[in-house]
Amino acid sequence: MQNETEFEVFVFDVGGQEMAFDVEHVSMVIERPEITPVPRSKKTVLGVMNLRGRIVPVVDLGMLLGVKVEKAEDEKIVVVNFEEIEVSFLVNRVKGVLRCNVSEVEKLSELDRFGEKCKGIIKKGEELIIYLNLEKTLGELIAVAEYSSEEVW
Amino acid sequence: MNEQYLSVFIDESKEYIQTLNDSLLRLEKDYQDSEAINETFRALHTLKGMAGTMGFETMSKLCHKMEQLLDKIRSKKIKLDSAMLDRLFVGVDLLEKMIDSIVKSGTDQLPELDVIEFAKGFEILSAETGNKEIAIERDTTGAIVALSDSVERVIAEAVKEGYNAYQMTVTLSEGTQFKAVRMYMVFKAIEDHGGQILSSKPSVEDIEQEKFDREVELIVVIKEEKETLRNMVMSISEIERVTIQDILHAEVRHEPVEKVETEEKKKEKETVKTESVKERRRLTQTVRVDIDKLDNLMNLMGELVISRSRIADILRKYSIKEVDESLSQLNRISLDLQNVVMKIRMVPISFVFNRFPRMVRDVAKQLNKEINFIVEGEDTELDRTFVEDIGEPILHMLRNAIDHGIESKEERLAKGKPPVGTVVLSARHEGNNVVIEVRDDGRGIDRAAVVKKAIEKGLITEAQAESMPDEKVYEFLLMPGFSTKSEATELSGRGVGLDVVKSVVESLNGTVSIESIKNKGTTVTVRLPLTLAIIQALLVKINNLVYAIPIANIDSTLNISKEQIQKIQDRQVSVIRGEIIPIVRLWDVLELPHQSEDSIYNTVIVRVGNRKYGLAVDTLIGQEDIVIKSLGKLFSDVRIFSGGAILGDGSIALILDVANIA
Amino acid sequence: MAKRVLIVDDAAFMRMLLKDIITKAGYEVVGEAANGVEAVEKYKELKPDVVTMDITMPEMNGIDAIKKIREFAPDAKIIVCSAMGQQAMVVEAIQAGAKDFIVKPFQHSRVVEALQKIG
Repeated sequence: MQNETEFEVFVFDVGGQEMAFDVEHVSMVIERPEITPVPRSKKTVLGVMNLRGRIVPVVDLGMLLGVKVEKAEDEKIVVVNFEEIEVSFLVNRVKGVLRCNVSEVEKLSELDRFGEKCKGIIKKGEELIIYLNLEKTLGELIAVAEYSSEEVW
Repeated sequence: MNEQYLSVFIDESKEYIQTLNDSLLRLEKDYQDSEAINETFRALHTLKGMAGTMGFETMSKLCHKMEQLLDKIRSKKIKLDSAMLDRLFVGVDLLEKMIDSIVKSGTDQLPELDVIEFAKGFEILSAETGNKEIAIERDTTGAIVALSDSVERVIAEAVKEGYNAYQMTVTLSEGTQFKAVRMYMVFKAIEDHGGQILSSKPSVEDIEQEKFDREVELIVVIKEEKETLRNMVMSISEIERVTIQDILHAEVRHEPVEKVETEEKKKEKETVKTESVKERRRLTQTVRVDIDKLDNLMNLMGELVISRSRIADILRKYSIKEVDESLSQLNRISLDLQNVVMKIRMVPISFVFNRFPRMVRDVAKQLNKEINFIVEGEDTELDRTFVEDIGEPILHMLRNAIDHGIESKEERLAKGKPPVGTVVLSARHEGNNVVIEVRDDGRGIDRAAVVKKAIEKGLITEAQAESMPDEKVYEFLLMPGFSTKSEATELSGRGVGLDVVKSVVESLNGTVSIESIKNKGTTVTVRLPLTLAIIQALLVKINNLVYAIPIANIDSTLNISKEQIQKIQDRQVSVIRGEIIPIVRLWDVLELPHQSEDSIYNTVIVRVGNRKYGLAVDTLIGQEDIVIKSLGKLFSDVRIFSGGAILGDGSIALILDVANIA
Repeated sequence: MAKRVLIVDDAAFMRMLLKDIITKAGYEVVGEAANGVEAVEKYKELKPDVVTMDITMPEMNGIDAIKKIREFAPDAKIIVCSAMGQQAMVVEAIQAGAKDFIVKPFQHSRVVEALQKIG
């Protein structure tokens, strides 16, 4: 039985720092495939990949979060689905699913550099996991084309 | 309540609302149009029944009151006037609102309005008896049937060729099962014997949906004698009675005074006839398919195309003769299949156009302008994917034409123009495109004003403006935030305009262009590809990455040496067959390195609207069918690509949106 | 001579029912088939005057069987048997060459009318 104060996160490693998304949005983890760059897109977007016939964007999560990533030998792609948007993130090692309790989540001021992209920090004994807000992270990636125009002729 | 019934109810109600709008518009043009009166009456009647069945009492009541008024008009007890018509229009709007409310909240109650009170207004109108009652003489001879001119013409032709023309009534037995199929057998028997059904009452569509009791009236031309025809039809099971009468068309023609009832009948026949021939064919040959299934089919088709290319790629390496043959056969089949699937997805543009006559009427009324609105090419088919998206752009184009294009009556008269402005909405196929045009005979675009604004905004210099062709100037109007009218009117000032037209159309891989002649009028033209999903594209390589250029955009490909490229005002151009064509180095646009030392550029000449430019690439790979896939919201700011395609080897080619490159 | 009828239906129960109605109406049932393939074979073998043909059957459905039979016997007189709601199929069967249709559950009078009218 799932307790209401309990939740599950998917934990992975970006540049030596452990991070996590809510597990329900994570659809799969794959090896880094060939990535086709998309010129003139945001710098944090590495490009697109062919995922079973679908074209899915690949985002450099380290760059998006401003985390320094040494050229890592281990690279994985975490595919997430959020409200009909399918996006994938390039991460380093994948740790797996972790059950947490809300009491283990803390808001810390040193996380401010992540802004709204972070919900808090999960403390598991010695381990500290950055608990990411997927919705806000995606929101930052999606540019909304805005029009402000009057009538013409 | 059953969800399934509800959705059918809603869909069908919407269709009837459309019918009501159409017929009321026709009535507005001709108050005597008895066909339109009947149609309005019937639609209201059906809607009343449907609403009642579903338990929407208020809606049913409103229909009832409107129907009563129509009934009085129909039986010539009262005369239709513009006040009644306006109220009927409002009534139809209310019905539409109720349906919306049913969709949203499951109730036909409109919080802001007492519909019952409003409905009573129709009672008052219906009670007016100031008009003289017209006695109705019923034509009981039956043999003399009034027919529309075109049916009569067909009959006259047929009679000349030795055919007989009959009016025939077929009555099915009590308790007949599959009435529609039974009637189909009647139709088939007549046609199998070389006969032709010119019209039917009820309409073929109604027959198909079993919307008839037991009796169907047909106008038939056939070589057989009456008795043979009778026996032929009677030999079909479950036919209770067949009565056949000659049509003495000559007499009808010269009948000087038409009786009221006959007049009505005639008009009815006319509608039935126009739909009849087309719908005859549809009686048996259509099935309703869930849109999702069609989309799924299209996706599978896409997968098939990809797999085919993949197999072809692999096999090419081995060049086995036997396989080649099968492969080319596979190619042919999948091409055919692709075409079929594409055709299945096509719907007539009337789906989109239907709602505009009403909207034009309302806008024109609000602006106190008189508009003669003409719709052309409603049958033009386009991919159903466009249907949802293209409505709004057309709406803006029409609003613009009425609001800003057509002058006021006074202004028109002063210019020596007819006081009624004309707005034409047309659609047609042109090559691999669907072309939609909104044309007005209004004041045209003030070039000087556009130029002035463009200079103000720092978009061009005065010197540039001078030499700029008109169509280039008008393109500024398509830019976001560009406007020549300082204050927006109530109607169009909704923060959206031609820039929205452009952005929507371009998202559909289409283009927009504007032509205008001062005081003669303006034409806004939208070009859309026939289908969105699968296109032919030229694959090109830049810096070892493959990109696709839609063939529809390509004019030609050629080699241009560096010496042939000149610099004019910061732009690289080349003179090709006497034309000055701007040359764009794609590696610059794509911000990719370019190492080649070649002095020759492989150049693809593309066409956007009526201008051309050249795209220099590293290599041309070849032509391929590709399946367009969206890149998704993450790339909505990247305007130079319209999507991506997965190639035979599983790699991705981004599709260049040539309209946004130069 | 009584008209000779071939009954095609995958359900033995339906065949029994039809056979009863048809025999009582004074016709002779010369054979039965349980699917389209059998129907075609039996038709060749028995050359019946009339066939009652179910639509939904395994192996080969009624519509395909009608087409097959009419390839070698263009004058074959076939009545399709349809269930409720199969209008579209019935139309298809008629286009394929069926002369009439009857709807399950069968009404005696309808079956007899169909047999008489088919001549």
